[in-house]
Amino acid sequence: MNRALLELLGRSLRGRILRRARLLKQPKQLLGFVVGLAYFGWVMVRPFLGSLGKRSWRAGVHLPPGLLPSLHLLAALAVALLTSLIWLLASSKPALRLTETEIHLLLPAPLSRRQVLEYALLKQQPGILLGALVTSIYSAGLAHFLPRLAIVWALLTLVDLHLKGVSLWKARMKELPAAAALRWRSLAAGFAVVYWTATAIALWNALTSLGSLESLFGGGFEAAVSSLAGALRAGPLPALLTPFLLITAPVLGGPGLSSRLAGGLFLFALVAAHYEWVVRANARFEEAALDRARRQAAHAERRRRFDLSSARARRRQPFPLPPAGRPEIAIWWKNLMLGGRRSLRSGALWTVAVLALLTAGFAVLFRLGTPPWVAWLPASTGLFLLGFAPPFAGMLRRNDLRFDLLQVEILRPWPIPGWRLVAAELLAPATAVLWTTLVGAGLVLGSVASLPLAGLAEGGEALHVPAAVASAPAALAFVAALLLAGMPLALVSIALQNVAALLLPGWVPLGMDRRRGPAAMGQHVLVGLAQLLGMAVAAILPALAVLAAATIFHLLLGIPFTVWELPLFALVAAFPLLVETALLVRAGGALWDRLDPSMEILATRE
Amino acid sequence: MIAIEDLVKTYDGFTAVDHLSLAVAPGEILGLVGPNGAGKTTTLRCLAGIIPKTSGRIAVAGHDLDAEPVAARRELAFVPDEPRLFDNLTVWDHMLIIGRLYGVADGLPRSQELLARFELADRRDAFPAELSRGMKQKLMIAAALLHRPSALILDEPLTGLDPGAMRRMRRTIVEQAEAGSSVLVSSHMLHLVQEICSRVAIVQNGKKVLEGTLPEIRAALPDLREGADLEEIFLRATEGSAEGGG
Repeated sequence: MNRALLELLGRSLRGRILRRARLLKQPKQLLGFVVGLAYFGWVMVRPFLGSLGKRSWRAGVHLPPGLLPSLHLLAALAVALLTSLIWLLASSKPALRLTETEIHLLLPAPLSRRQVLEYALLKQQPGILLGALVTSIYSAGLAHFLPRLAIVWALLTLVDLHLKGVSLWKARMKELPAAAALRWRSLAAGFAVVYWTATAIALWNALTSLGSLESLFGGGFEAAVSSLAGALRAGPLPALLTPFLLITAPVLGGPGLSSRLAGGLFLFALVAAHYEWVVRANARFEEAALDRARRQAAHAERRRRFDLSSARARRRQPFPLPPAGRPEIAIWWKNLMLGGRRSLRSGALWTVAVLALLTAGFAVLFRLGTPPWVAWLPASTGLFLLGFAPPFAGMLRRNDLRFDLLQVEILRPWPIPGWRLVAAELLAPATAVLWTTLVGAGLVLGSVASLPLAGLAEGGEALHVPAAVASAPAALAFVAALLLAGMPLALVSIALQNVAALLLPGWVPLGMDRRRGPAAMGQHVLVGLAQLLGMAVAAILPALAVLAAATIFHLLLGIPFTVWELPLFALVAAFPLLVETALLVRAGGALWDRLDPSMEILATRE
Repeated sequence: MIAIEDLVKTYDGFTAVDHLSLAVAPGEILGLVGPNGAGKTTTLRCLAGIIPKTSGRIAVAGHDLDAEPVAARRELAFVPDEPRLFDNLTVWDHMLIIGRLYGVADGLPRSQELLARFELADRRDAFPAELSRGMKQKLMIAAALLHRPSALILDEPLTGLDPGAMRRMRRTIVEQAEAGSSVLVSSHMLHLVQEICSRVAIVQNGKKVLEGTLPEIRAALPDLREGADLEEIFLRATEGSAEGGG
């Protein structure tokens, strides 16, 4: 490989490390790094060190005699299938992972195609090595760590090279004269058809020779596994799967060293052959690589999401925005469109229709004899949505300041006070949470209503729970309580995330940002912990308010408990939560007015 | 009227803008020029309220940016050097939301007129990712002019435009000033600055080196030849750093 290219790779890696190291001069980056490192140690290194002195998992576990050979054969079959799928689905645009800068630098440079391809392949290696490292740490003890690392690396590299090789081959076919391309394609397709027909027949014969499932498992699990292994190995299947058995032999081969060694040697020889196949390919890759780089640079994922083909779809809006009115509504409208351009009204109508259909469908099912406990399935899903969406609202949707801070140059000159802007930013994610909780409420109420609709007893009786809990009025009261307390809780959760984004814009991921590295990992952990802590603190006042209300009701006034107290207590809890949201919005507004985006937003983006 | 008095902006001990004072009267176009890293963009960002200043005073149309930020921003429009648009909003959505945020009474007809003027009428349903850089720039300027700002700040407004669009943009800037706006233009295109600006301010290392009309600046540099253009003046005034800075 060209020395200049090696130097480019080395310097790029060094630059990346240095850039990250420089960031550690900031105390919060350093703190994030330390926490990230501790987290990494806890999750990754601890299990590895814990395996010191232990033998591999296979040595400690008693396996039925036929299990490993059967697994090995099935794994070989899976690899054969994967290979066929790669041939079937690989793109004919060989998109090598080069950035736009690399393409503009390398393609006009006096370098051979082979050198550029070698550079592109080598560039993939740090990621592949990291993947192999993580897999090996989890799957091997210390004694087997290095051989396992080498095998996993070879397997991952082989898949990567095979994908690229097939893609380049397909691209080459497009460049050949039609008759020649057809000849090659027919040859490949013919081989695949013959191979898979023979494999399918061999597999079918092996499986049918086993007889019925009852007779197979009649002698117990071990005997069944042994019979399966015997049947699979008896026919021509092992011969047909030979190359794939060899590839998987280092992982799943027999206990003898020779079969694994042979498999390992075959695997490495295959990697070397694939490498030559790819770097010698003479298909054009430049345009596809450039196209890929451009798409990546323009956040392809986001662009695809907004690339709505029809003019009608492009003009769709959550709701028609009148030209005059409160600016907060305009910001809400804009942020709703980050989640899609669906109309709120039609979305609500569809939701109601689907819920009504579900309720009617369940009623019909119950009338046809489906046991009533099935109603627990939608009901528990609904309860899950009602219970979990509000406290985690801040983490569910991010169509608020966490997206808009990247557009600070547009937002900052807007003539709107900071606190009103922050308040407006909470509305779009809150709408999503409201929709989620309303769906949850609909599922619970629909489940409870479907039983009487089917002519069964009241929901509570049919579900074998006290009527006071699962009757229609009780369910209504319970759902109303969850909604009344849930939405203010959701607002606190979203407000906390937005205030965190304003307070520490370098810590909260903005836009589609998916930062990596120990510092980012640590920052995520700390922000997550801070959110949990914030929610816990925010829950203190509402809990005290509910406790006080319950004391007054039951101990002082002696009013007996009814389910209709629940919405009342929820209102008591909602009030302090709304006050807390207002305080957070005011704090966020003050932070917005004082925010200096120079270092953590504008500089990092530029 | 744009008034900047004794503006200072420091980052991590580095002074990007150093006691800079500028004033742009209604109907006037002030060209802000300087080598790369001179503090032009930082000055404009402070003026637009995007980044907070370290010290000094900024007023737009008589409204102090600290005391009356909303009133000051209502009078102001800022077009950054790189077109910044919302990925999920179409061209028309951008005009709609800006009109609503600034409370433009005739927002819809004016949007249509501006899109037609900037040759974007047939692209009204396009997303930013589907626009060329020049088109994005045009959209930014159309959106900036929507609320008839009394102070217009443009950072490198001609970058990415084709020759025809450049000519129309020059005309638009001049028309905006003629309509009574104070216009502050930062650009490396010195011939543009010389052509359209009533006055020029040259900054270097965050400090104002020279300010005035072209004849006034020429007079301030006595050894300069008669009839020297802005490029010569600029190179002379920023000798040493301009060539290196590009």
